Amino acid sequence: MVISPERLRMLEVIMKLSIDNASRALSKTLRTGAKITLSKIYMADFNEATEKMNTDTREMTGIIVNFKGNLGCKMLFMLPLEGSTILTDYYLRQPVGTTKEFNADTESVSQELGNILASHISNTLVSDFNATLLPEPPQVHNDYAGIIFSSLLLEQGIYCDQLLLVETIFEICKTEITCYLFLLPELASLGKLLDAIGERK
Amino acid sequence: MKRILVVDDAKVVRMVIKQILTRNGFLVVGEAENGREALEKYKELKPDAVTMDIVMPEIDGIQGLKDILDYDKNAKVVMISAIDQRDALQAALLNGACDFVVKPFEDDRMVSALNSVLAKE
Amino acid sequence: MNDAPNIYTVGVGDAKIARAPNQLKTLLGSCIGIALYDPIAKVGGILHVMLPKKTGNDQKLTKYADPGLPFFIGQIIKNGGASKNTLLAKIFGGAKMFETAGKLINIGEKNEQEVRRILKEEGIKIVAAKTGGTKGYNIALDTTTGNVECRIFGEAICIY
Repeated sequence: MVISPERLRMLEVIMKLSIDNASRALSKTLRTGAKITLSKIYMADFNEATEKMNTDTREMTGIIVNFKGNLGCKMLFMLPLEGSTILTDYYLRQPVGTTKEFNADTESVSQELGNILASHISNTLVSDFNATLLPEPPQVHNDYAGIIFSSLLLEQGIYCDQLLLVETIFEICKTEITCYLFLLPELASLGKLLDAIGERK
Repeated sequence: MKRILVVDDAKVVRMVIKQILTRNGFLVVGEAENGREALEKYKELKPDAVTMDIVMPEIDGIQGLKDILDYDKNAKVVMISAIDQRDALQAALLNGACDFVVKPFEDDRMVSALNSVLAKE
Repeated sequence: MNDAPNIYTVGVGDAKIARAPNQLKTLLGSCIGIALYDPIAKVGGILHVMLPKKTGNDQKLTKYADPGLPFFIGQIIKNGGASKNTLLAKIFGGAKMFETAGKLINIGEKNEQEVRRILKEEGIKIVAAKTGGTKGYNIALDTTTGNVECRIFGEAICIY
């Protein structure tokens, strides 16, 4: 599927709106700012993207959310393992350092942060595209960054070498935590989304 | 003291809701992780009101709401979810939810939702 | 074929061949990594397969155990100067991580079964295997020794 630069630009604006909403919801949930330092949308070659990431052995917590509805999409929220313990303390309104290691609370907080982000992204996309899009319960997994990222792409990579990726980097204020948010809309159902944009022209 | 059942698949969300409710004079009598457990606990505990998430594994919150109202047509259920979409709101309200609180919320918003629902006895 | 001494990364669904003293490395989740090594020719390679069998018109054979593995064996013999009689195999990966649906259910297990079947058919001996579990694998093949350094997430490094 070929996406014209003009439509890619439109998609970028709408995706950014949804991520802005998600970032505000994240800030409110954690009671600290989640500052977006990078946000881009691009067509990625499956092999190039995974080869690049396959060198990344940082230990991360990955939260993957599948969406159901007429617009297929996956979301990955990924943050350093030690960052997820700090965010647990923020979420539970307790002093930073209370949570010493990844435990059942950390897993549950990660799951909830994934739920908040995915829900607010879908809220914006649904209202802007007249689509149906609901997140499924998030799955949390600790592993190497490269493995988590590849897991996001794997299913679509089977069918298609070209993927549309929306990549966002957040920095959590008052901490040194850098978080990564990837959205991977299914190209097959993306046509509908693009048609909706076309109709508004 | 009003007795509340808290339903959410995330343990920490149940913890936070319980803290807020306890601080505001409610008694959390039970917790459930999905719609199926919610009905079981509702039958067992007969709470005055329920807070219900929507996206949950197995039986989701909309089905959980329907099941509880089928069992007790006077049940008071407040939906608490990050899903802020017309379809979800319609499904909740048409199936008998008393209120809909969007996450993340201010503590007062949830407390006032429960207070006003419970005042309508 | 890479000749400069270096560490090369093998991407998902890809394959690389290298000669001593180079190293090849890759990360594996549900995919299976097949490290082939010829101790006489001092040449080795890693094939990173995503799926057991190719369906459809995909041109990238190395994504699939069948026909990617027979193709890869042919390449290491033809371009690397390895001999089928002395080639040894070590296999890693095939973890079950995120819950998946459709084609990806138990994909790690299916990948491993297919890889074992093909290696048996090709007459290549599996001298080491570390597969399954729920965490990712970080592997590196040293083409000087044929050793594979394997670190499963959260565990200590093991040499195979």
